[in-house]
Amino acid sequence: MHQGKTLNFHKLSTAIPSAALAATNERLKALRQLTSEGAKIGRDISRLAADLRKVAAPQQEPFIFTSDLETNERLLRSILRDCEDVIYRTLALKGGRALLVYVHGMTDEAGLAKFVIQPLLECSVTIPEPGADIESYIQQHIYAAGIQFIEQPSSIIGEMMGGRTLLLFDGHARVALIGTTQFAKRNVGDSKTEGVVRGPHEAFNETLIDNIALLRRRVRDPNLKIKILNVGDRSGTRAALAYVSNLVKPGLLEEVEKRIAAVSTDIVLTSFKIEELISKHPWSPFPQAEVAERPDTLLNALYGGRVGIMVDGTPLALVVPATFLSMMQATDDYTTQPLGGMLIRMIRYLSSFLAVYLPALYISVVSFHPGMLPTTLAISIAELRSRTPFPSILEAFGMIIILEIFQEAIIRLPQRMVTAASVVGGFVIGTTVVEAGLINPLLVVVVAMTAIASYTASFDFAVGFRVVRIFTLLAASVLGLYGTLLALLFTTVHLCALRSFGESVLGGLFDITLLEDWKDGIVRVPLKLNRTRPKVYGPQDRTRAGDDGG
Amino acid sequence: MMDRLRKLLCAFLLLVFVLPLAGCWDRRELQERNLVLAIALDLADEGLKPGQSQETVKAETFVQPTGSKRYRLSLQILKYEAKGAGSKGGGGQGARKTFVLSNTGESLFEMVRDMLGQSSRALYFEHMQVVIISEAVLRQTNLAPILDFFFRDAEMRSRIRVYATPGQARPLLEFKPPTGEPGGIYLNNIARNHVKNAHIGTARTDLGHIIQALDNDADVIMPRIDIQDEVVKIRGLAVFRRDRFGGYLDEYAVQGIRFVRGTERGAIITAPCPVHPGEILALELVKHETKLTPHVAGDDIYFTLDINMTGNLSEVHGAQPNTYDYKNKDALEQAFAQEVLANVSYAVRQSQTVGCDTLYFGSKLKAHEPETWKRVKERWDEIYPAISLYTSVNVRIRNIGVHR
Repeated sequence: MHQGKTLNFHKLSTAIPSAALAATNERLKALRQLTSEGAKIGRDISRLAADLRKVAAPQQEPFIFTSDLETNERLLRSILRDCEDVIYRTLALKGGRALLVYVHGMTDEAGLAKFVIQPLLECSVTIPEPGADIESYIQQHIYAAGIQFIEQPSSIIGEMMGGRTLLLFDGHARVALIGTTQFAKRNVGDSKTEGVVRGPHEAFNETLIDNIALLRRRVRDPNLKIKILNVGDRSGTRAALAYVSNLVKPGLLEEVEKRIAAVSTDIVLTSFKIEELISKHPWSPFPQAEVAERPDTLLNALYGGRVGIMVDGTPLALVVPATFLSMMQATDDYTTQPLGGMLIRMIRYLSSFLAVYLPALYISVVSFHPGMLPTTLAISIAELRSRTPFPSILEAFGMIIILEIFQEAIIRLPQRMVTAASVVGGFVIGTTVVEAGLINPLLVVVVAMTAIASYTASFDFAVGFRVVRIFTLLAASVLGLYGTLLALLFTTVHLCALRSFGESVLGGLFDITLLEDWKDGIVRVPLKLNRTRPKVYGPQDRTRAGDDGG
Repeated sequence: MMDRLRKLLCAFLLLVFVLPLAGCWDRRELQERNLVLAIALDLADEGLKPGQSQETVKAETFVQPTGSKRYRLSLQILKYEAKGAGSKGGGGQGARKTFVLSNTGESLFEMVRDMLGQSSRALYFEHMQVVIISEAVLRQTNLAPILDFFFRDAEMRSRIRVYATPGQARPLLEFKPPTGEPGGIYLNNIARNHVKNAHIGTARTDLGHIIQALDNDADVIMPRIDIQDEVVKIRGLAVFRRDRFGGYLDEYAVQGIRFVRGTERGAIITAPCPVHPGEILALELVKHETKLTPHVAGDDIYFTLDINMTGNLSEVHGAQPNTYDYKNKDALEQAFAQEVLANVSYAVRQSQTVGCDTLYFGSKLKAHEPETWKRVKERWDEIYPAISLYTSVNVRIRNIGVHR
């Protein structure tokens, strides 16, 4: 470098244009501003922290209520900052001030005014001295029905966010929670997914309390217990375990509680999330908890010794353990004459079989074993099929895909469009595809039959059927009847191995010790001949009668 | 985790290893198969299509290293009419629903396989209805070697009808049923009416029963089918000594045989009226019980036959006999019993003349008197024609008709 070479110095900015002095100054200024703003935010944060730290809060709690109303309000405001739907209402009372804090829209404000604010303002008694008994003062002067005193500040905040009103008095650290919850909700309506012909029509709605009331209204049994739990680490969703204490199988309730306690998730918006998180076989296509949308279905299950899980925000309660037999039952089985009930139940079994195996059987017989058909039928099928260009397997898969698309589209569509979609789907596609000779009419019948048959089972189960149907069809298209039978075996073994809270989903059907459950399983015998509860759920008392005092 | 994975892998491998064990699972769409409905077997120089030249016969066949061109095998194959929403109208009314392919050779299976050269689709025999064998073939060869192919092949079903025909067999394949059904199905179905028609001897004569008879070293019977112009009819039986063709029995003999074997329900028995001679009465059988018992007395073997029949008087020609009179009714019953007796003895005589054990005397003896059977087994062919049958018939008329 030094050896006879000239060193040329240039301004840095010629090499790096962004290093020009003016530009650098500009950016420096911006940086300074950022730093100063950052410092301001930092100061804010430290002030907030200091506010909170002023009060010696115990472990696990963000703060603690003090006897100074100013401090309390400041603490609440700092915790609930940016929650602009929280209302603070200060009351000037005889002997001091009081503060009401509630969430707008979750609270019955008229009731609050009439039963809390009015009596307090009109009260001639002085607020007790600091340190004196504030609870009896509140109990004496507030008309509202539900008043509760809780120690934990975090629970108090949680309750307030759930619609209750906080009442604080100057000079007192004791906080009253007043039950004034009222919010927009759907009324109790007809069942959407579990329709019946002759049974009661009321179904659960999204509100847990209403649902519990629907249960209570039907049985006046103090042994029907409701246990409220919180699930969802952030949402704090309330869930209720319903069970009959002197019937439920020993250990079942504890197991349910254990599994729900082990659920670790942020928010719970549907009961299915609970179902999925507490079931042990997440890869199974079949549900491992039964769904009850109707209070009578749930009660029936509870009085069989099972446990119900109701989740706030979902109109569908879960019932565990669930078995194949229980999932194939419907209220209508019990609201018709036993023989009629037996017939419709048998039809349901038949159609669940058809829903899974009919296309596979069709493919096996037509493509692999046409010798099994009666000759005249074989001839008509061959003549139908002689126009269609595709192998029957492609045809069947095509049809099933079309079917799945229709089903999905119709569920997603707005109500008004459904008719249009049905017309386009049914007439235009269905008819034209047949007329154009792309798919033979018999297959259309087979697939349509399959679809209709799968609607007789509960929706959860039907989705499982759809999965297994495709799996079976694949097996049939490679191996014919042999493949169909392999798939049947595979499905049966899987369903037997599948356990819902200890009970095999299908295995009970083949268990000789549970043979008497067939009385209300495969068949439905008249109630006079079947006075016992199903054995499989292990109820403490098997006789369907009153409590014999034990 | 590893353990579980290994278990899963094992289960999967087990499933995969099972696949080759599955055997016959060829996937071939139904419409890609040609359904063979009937097979006809003629001698090589018979069974030609009307106006078919020797050149065509040569074109149909193949070069054969061993054996001779002994037989002519014809297949009746179903022709598909594309049905569906697109093609309406009754165009299929007069159309022949089947077509016939022929071949000459000695091995039936070889001929069938060679015929794939004439067929656009694979030939498929699982829906085959009838096999028709011409008398000429039967006179030339025993039955067992001809039918061996049908016994062994997996696609052949036991319920295939086997017919013998006195003329050529192929014209029966060309027969166009007036009902519009495919020919093979029609030919099979006319044999099914044997329950009500005692003249048709098709009960227990399908391929499965023939196999059974041959396996048991018993005599084979098969229905005879005739075609004359546009008339196709099953009439009588072709009878065999073991599997050697022995001749035919007529309808009257068939009815007698069926009285002995008790395989019919609802036969019509006609007898002369005892009250008004020269007129004819008919009785429709309702109930029919038969008991055939072998007896051995020293070296003498004879059979007794008890027939109990109940029937309805179904037709009276000429003057009406007064059936309210018990004497008349008894006389009528006697007349019918006489007729049955005559019919049975005719059938037995005919069978014994031909030498075919159509009445199952042999198997009865084997079942009831196994020791005797062992003794006479070797000489059965000589003993059978001389066996006597003592028949007692009891006929009861239950209904005499509403108006009389």
